[in-house]
Amino acid sequence: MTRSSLIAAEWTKLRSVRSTPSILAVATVATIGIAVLQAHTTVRSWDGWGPRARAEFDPVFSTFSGFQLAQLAFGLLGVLAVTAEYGTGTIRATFTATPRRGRVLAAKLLVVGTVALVAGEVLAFTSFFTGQFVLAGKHLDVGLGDPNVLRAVLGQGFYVATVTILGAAIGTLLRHTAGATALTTGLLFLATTVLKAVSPDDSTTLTHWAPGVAAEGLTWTTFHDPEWPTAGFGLFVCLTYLAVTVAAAAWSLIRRDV
Amino acid sequence: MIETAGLTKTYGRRRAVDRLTFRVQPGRVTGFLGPNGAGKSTTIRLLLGLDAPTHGRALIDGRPYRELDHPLRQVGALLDANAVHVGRRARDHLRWLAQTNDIPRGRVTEVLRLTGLAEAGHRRVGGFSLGMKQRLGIAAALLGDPAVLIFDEPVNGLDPDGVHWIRGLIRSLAAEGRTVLISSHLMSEMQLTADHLLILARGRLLSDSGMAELVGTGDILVRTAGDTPLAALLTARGATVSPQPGQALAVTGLDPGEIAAVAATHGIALIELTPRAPSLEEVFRRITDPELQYRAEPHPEDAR
Repeated sequence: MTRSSLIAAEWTKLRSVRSTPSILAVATVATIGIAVLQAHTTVRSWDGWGPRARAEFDPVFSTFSGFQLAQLAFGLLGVLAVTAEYGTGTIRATFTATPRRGRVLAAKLLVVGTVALVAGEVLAFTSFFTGQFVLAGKHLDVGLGDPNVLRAVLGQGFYVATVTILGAAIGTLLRHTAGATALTTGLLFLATTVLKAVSPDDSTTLTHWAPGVAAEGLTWTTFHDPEWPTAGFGLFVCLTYLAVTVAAAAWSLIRRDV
Repeated sequence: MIETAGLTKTYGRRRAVDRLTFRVQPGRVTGFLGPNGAGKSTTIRLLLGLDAPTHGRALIDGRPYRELDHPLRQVGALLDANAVHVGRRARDHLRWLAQTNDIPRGRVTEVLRLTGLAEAGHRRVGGFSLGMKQRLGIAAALLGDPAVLIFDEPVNGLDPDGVHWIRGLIRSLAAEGRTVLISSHLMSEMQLTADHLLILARGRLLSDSGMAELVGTGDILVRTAGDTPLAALLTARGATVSPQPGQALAVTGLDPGEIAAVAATHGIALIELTPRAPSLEEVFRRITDPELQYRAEPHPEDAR
């Protein structure tokens, strides 16, 4: 069987269940809606802001807070792409149709990752343009050509795809929707707090390895919090998570009985 | 053809499948019979490469399943009919399966029609009855027009019409020269459908023989009034005797005349002497439960 047949099959699977459009709808409402609300609130209250708040204002980062919620939806998209097969038993049909499991995993990650990357970039650019349009009312907006801006917008979409593949890899390892969702959510939201708690004072060596902090490193433009990593390090952290979890998922998938 | 050699699967310390060696030949229906927990489903999972054997081999047309290029075109399998995503439409379920093995799209419509689901193809599987899901599972098995078919408990959940339909389908698939293995714990169903039987209990293969030779000879039901030494006397004459409820004995190895003669010689009154048609259920019980059986070897006290 060819690679393209497996990709076509995984695409059919992904688009033929209702959870896919529902999850993408939630992510769309969350990102664009919050971008507009956030920008609107800033424009309305800007005159009352002190000098410190104005200095720390980042016109892109601040309008991307909807992605905090959307990343959950995308993580779930990745988890469900795998655990729904285990939960329903479809996985047995999948592996009798394609006994070479590594190829199935590759095709699945490629399809779900591509869908997430395209959706993530579309949402990032749409949120960016709508957010900046509202901020322009107070001349607080930036353009794609300004420093760091294109990197931040592309980085946000890339982070969404990372989270999705992370969810799919964790789903492959744990096989259960509830467990995999809990672990993925925990990694996204609690890792920062936990790593900060175990770090010595003022040390950022560990916290830079929290996915949420890596995302901050990827998406800042005009203001860089000293606790955030550089964009390059954020990218490195994302790629490391992908490499480790995908390798572990492949190893476990090929060795374990179904 | 399906072939296993020394096939063994252990889970922890439990041997689910214990040194199975058998062949399933084309052109006939082979029944895979055993009580629940005998290892039938595990064996099927090993055949399909879903589980890896601890020892031994399972081959389809001479190759391990995991090495087949287009497995759905060589082997069609019906496992658990409920193992389908309930949110997916039946046609989409078959479509992705077809795509994995480069099976033309038109075949999806064909198997839907073949299994009586032509009208239901656009519906989500969540709304299907168990019988419809069973038909969908069979449609999936037939998708690649395979020469080998493996059905795990195919009549489960089917109504009488459905049972009749699948019986005919299984017979016709074998008549076309395909290799057909069906597992079941339903003996009456097996007796109607299978030509050849593999009997499994506690992971071991207890019998590998044709249906006719297995159930070919019936037995004779002998009933006496009160306790008599008849069982021992018949055993001494070379019969195999197994006790039945209500002071009765099931006897093989002697004809009714011989049994009557033994009884008469010893002054034992018979109140029933009935030759019985063979029953797979009896044969199965005899094979799988050796404690129920008196062996034909004479005991020392019988020899006196």
